[in-house]
Amino acid sequence: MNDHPPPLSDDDLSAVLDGLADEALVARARAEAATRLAALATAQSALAATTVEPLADDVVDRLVTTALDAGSEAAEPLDTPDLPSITPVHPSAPARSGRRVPTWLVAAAVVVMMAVGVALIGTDRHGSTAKFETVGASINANDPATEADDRTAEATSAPDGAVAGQGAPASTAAAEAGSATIAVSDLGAFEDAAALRLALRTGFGPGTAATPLPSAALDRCRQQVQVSLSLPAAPTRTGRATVAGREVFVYVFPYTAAGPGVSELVAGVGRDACDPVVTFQR
Amino acid sequence: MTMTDPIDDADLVAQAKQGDRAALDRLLRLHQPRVHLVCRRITGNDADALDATQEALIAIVRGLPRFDGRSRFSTWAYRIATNACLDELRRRRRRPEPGLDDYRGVEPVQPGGSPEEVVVARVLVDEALAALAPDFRAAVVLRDVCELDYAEIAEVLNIPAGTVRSRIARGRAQLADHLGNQNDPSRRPTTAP
Repeated sequence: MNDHPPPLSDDDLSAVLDGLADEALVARARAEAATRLAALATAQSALAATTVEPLADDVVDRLVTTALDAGSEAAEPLDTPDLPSITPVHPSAPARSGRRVPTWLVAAAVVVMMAVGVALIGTDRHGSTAKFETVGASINANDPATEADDRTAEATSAPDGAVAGQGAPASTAAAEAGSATIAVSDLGAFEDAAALRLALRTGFGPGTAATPLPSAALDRCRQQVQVSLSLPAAPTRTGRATVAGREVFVYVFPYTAAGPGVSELVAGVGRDACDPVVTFQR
Repeated sequence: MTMTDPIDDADLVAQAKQGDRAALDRLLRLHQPRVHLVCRRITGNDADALDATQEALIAIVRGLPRFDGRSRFSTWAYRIATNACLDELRRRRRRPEPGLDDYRGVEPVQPGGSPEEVVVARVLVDEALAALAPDFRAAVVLRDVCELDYAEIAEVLNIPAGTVRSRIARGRAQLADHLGNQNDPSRRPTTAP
């Protein structure tokens, strides 16, 4: 028998600092690990104490004005399936001093991509594009992780970095400001998450139309889902739905369940914050 | 840090969603300091923080029509800001960092130090934060700088509360080690028999 309790961990001591430990643990921490507790407390207080200089008023004015203008410029093009699936980098993306892509480079890249696309179509090099119900072309956001999506999409990829690689924003904002797009299945509109879940229980919804979405936004949420759910494999299907008026990205991942065989895990997340809307196994 | 009144937020959000540009302007200005704060701490430098702040504000404006109010606006804004920062970090090429050797061995100072000490402390903390993995950094910043509770951090980062606790603990431990506050490694409780 071991009468000694396990040694206190940094998790325990951090809980003490955050007031989440019971009295017994606090007493043990003070008695057995006072030095380490003090070290953690010092680090905590150092971080809390060091200030960040507030932005100057004119900088704040510029940030806010740019955001307001960008919002008013947003034409919400995502509900118009007739959009081309390749969208050039928007020249009025947020100011990123020193890292903008020259206009001539963007134009050259688009020309090269179109030429490559025509050549591939002519040789039928990739065969059907419907293998994973994700169609369209994409421009990499210079993130190796996007390669999985690109393979999934059976898409024609541009030379990496030719368009989006030198400062094309890949965040929520910048993606909508005009980075690369990828066409995904439009699953339709649903009243609530339960309706979406029902539609996805056995298939991939009624929708078949392709809707172009910013690949960076899709990739950001896909990464968060994979990390949150510890899913090593890339999604086999990607779609878009509207749930109670809110845009949702839907991913289908291969998923090994308990027992024989491989099933699928369906995850739907809100576009803006990648927060979970539906998650289930089928 | 100072929080805006959630009731004010709700009113402003409602007005902004109805197209009131002045309300949206006010909402952005109210939340810009905390957005910039979290961006500065997570990205680790002024230029990237400014970029991430801009992108976060744009994302807030564009995402506001879809904000359903199930969480607090500030939590939602933190989430967007954190995502913008992590995007920025992923995008960022490894750039030469300013030399910090001159500051090694200098203890962090508490509030009230001289201006020089404050600057040194700021650089040290930046360096220590930069040494953390982005996921740990975000958790620690949201807890110790933004003062969010574990549940809010879980919501912002979209991870379980247990993972939040673990990331904060490991992040703080690495910060402590990096800042040189650990006096005697042999006395660490995790190494005791």
